[in-house]
Amino acid sequence: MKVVVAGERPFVEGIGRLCTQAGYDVVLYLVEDFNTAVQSGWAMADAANADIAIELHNESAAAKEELLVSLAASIPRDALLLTSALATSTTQAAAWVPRPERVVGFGVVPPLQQQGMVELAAGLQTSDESLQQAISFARHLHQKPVIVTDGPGLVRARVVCCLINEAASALMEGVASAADIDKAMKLGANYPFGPLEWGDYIGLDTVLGTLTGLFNEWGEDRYRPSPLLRRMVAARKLGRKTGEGFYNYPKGD
Amino acid sequence: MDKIAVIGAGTMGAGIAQVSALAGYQVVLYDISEDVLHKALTGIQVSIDQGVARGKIAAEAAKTAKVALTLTTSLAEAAPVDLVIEAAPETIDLKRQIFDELESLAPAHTIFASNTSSLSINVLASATQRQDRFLGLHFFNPAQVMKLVEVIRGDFTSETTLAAALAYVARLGKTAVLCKDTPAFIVNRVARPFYGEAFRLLGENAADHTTIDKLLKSLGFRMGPFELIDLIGCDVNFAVTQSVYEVTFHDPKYRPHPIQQRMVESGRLGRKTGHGFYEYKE
Repeated sequence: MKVVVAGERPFVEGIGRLCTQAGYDVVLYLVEDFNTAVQSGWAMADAANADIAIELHNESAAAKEELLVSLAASIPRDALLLTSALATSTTQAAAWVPRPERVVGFGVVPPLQQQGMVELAAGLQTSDESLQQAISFARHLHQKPVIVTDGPGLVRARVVCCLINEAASALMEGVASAADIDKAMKLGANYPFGPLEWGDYIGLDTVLGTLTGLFNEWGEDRYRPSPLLRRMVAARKLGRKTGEGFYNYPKGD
Repeated sequence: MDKIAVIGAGTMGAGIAQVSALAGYQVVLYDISEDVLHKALTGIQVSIDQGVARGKIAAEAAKTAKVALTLTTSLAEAAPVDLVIEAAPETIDLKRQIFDELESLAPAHTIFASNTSSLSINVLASATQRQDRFLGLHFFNPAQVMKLVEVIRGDFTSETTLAAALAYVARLGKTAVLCKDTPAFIVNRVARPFYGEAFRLLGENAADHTTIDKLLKSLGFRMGPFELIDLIGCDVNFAVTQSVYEVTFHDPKYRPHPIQQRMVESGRLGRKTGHGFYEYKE
């Protein structure tokens, strides 16, 4: 079985590793390479015999659409297409591609674990057969499938991105330093990571994309991304992957 | 600094008195009720003895701590200390009245601190003539266990006061984080979406409460939101949510959820009533 994984760090590496460990033949594309590859033609050949394609691009709905359309055009007609339902709902993502019934949404939050859980969601167009295929694929990856209702961020990424957003607002207002906000949440609320270091790990572009997706879906103020988050993304201070986010990451760290 | 008074012998006050006595401070624990004081003392003694039995507290330190702790129902007896930590019920008028009385009873050098989790330090400090010697020291429950103290600076808190408070927190073996006087400070504010989004997801029928808890625990959260709310008490969680919503002039991101009110009004408060989001058998 061949799996094509395309999108952003650290999602691509994380999911790619799980697929490789499970014995799949895996092709990884970081989004910038994939777009170049599509333009030059050789990605088509690589994806043309894939059984499963996994999209992991959540910087914005537009960027996600572009990648999904490229992926859908490159893979076989009957391949399963898994979309990370962070920046949009599964239904919205499925609506952008031909044969939307083969699209299943999923949700993961880095850091991914080897015996973890994956949220799965059917879009309004998703067929039962596709959902069943996604369930058995998740089990092969040693990820416990948990079915949830569709929507941007599903359950976990929605909660975590909202925590990061609130922490970013507090930081912007000078309530405390980034280090103290993270320390407070770990020691005072037993969080596994401070929200700001977690944001740096996930990638602030993905966090902003998820919040924007929630904001557009619900039209409610509670999901409005913190201006600080917007500015950091504009300045390409995206966290670990660019070497700078709420914290600095020396090269090679 | 070696003498401390703790005002209010409820759960938080008793916990703060205990850790202070164990760190080698002379501690006066004040409450208006003799009964509350004696219950607190028994609780502290039991807790210290358990610590000794588990090897977490040295026998010598336990003995010293028990001697170092005294009780009083007189504010005048509590006042002559270096640091007063107020841990009275979370009512602005009551707290301001306590600080107003303490102002005339305490020596000039005494630092006043409040363990408030939701009230403004600037507003409390304004009840005194010593706003430079006033700050917030927000402990977390149980104070014997939780390592964090939010140290909240008012607009007029002096550097000397801050340094003394940080030295106190360090001597307790706890970690201080510096925080501006803003609604709900750090932890209670940044944690709002953990509860708020969980209620939203439940209300939207995205998943049931057990699934939401399970999913969030899979990320390393020690408890899921609904387990945690049952532990805290649905009433307490609802009160904090409402208080943050009120002090932010109804910022919509902090809006309480109808499920919270429904749980509280049906008396399903969590572990303490045997029934909240989960059932708790005896």
